[in-house]
Amino acid sequence: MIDLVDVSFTYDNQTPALDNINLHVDKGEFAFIVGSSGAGKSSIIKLLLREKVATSGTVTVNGYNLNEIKAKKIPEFRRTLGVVFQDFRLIPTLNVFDNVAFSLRVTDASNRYIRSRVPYILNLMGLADKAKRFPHEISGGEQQRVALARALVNDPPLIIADEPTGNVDPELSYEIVDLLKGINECGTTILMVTHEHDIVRHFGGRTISIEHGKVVFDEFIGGRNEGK
Amino acid sequence: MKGNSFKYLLKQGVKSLWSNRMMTLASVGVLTACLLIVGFAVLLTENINNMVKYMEDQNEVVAFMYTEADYHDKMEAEGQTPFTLSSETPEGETSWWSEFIEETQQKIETVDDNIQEVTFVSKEEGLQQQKEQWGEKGSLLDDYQGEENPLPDSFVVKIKDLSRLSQTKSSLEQIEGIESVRAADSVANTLTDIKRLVNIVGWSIVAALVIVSLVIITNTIRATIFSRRKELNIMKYVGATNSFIRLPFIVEGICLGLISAVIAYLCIWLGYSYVLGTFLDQASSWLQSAFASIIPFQNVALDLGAFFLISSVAIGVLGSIVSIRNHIRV
Repeated sequence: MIDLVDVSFTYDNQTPALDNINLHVDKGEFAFIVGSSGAGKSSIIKLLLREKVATSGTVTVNGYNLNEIKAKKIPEFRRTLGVVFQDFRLIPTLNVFDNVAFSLRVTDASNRYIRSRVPYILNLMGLADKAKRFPHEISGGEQQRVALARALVNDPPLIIADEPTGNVDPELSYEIVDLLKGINECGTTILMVTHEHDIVRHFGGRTISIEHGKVVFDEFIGGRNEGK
Repeated sequence: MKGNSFKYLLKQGVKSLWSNRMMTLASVGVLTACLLIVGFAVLLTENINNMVKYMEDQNEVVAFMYTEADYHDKMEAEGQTPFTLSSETPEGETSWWSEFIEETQQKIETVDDNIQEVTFVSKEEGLQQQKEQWGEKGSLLDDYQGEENPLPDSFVVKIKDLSRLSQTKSSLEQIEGIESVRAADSVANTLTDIKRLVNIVGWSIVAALVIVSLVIITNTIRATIFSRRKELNIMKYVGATNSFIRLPFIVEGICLGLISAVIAYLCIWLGYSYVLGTFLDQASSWLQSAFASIIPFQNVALDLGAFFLISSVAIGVLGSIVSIRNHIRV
């Protein structure tokens, strides 16, 4: 699913961000990436989304070699994954329904499919009654659930969540991760970046810790609610 | 891209005109102002040109022939066999002189390619015109009718290109039977100079305005897109292709162009008609006669409309494509 082999990455201004990273995430896994700010978490996300290209090593996601992918193929690749950001990144001029539908529209889905699929996903996320609202009219937690719905609506095999709990209230954070866990149980691979150790300790699972651009820890840790 | 997406994107483009209405207003305002300025500059230049052309048309060259008697004497003096005078030609026969007039007219018509029209004015007609010009005192000329008429036969010649007047004039003077040629050389030169100046100044102003407009418009569109760059970014992350992102903006550009063109066109139409009306009502008779040659709006309506539509839509589309290019590289 995700395969980083000997990946190093240096920004244009010569700041080294990642140093010889090896990382492998299998289909169906749920993995946390933790680390303090500046450790290199966002750089990994940028490589995985093909916003940046690795300086050396190979990055493979969903079968696409991101070092060699052609610019024309990038949209096609991005449709194979769902992305959730800390700042939600909803389109302010579209209502909740259209924000979620946007993921489908870029794939040329038929109106009929959109009309049946989007309400289904919104319902799943507990947003059925917010479909006509605009992003600025709903709470942060709800916005993040809209973002999650948008990531899910294409039924992608992989969801990348970049600090999805960073901008929502603590109690809602758990709700968001609960949702992600639920999605994972249905077979979707999930990679979640966070700096909130409480959440990791609460849920447990594979945890990859990054410091100064290197992987310093990659093990399975048991959560407090294990077996709940 | 399937028809389904295409329809959606068209709708999106029209919708975003309203959702970004402040920016829409700004863009339409700027585009309209630019079109108005360029439109008025074009109209002004065209009108001055037209006025100069009108004055050119008033400018006639008159080629006077020798009088029949003078030419008869001239031939005798040069030792040639003189012709039979009209007064001595038996009735029912065409006189030598009237054949000579026809020959001369043909020579004038073909003297060079600058001749537009040649009208023969017989000495009788000339006298009649003179009498009309003198008004009440015209009766003084009553004694000069028929045989006593001292005026020569003449040709009124209209020429095509005033700047070549002196050349044509000297060609006319070479023609056998022409005694003198009267032409307003200095007026012609002034008019030609004015025309050249108006063309150079007018069209450079139009060109400068077009460039200024383009700069302002691209900047306005760039500002519109800059304020929406986050939106563009998000679209890219969700897997939208460049053309998918671009189409609504192009539709938006076309709409902005159309709206501006229509507003500017109406403004010019009303403004132009109003100014024309005011001048015709209030101006003195001298001005009125000058303004009589102003191009009526309906004569330029189609050209101006086409120019507005094509240029504004082209600017809208190009502006969108150019300014969006820098923001979709994610």
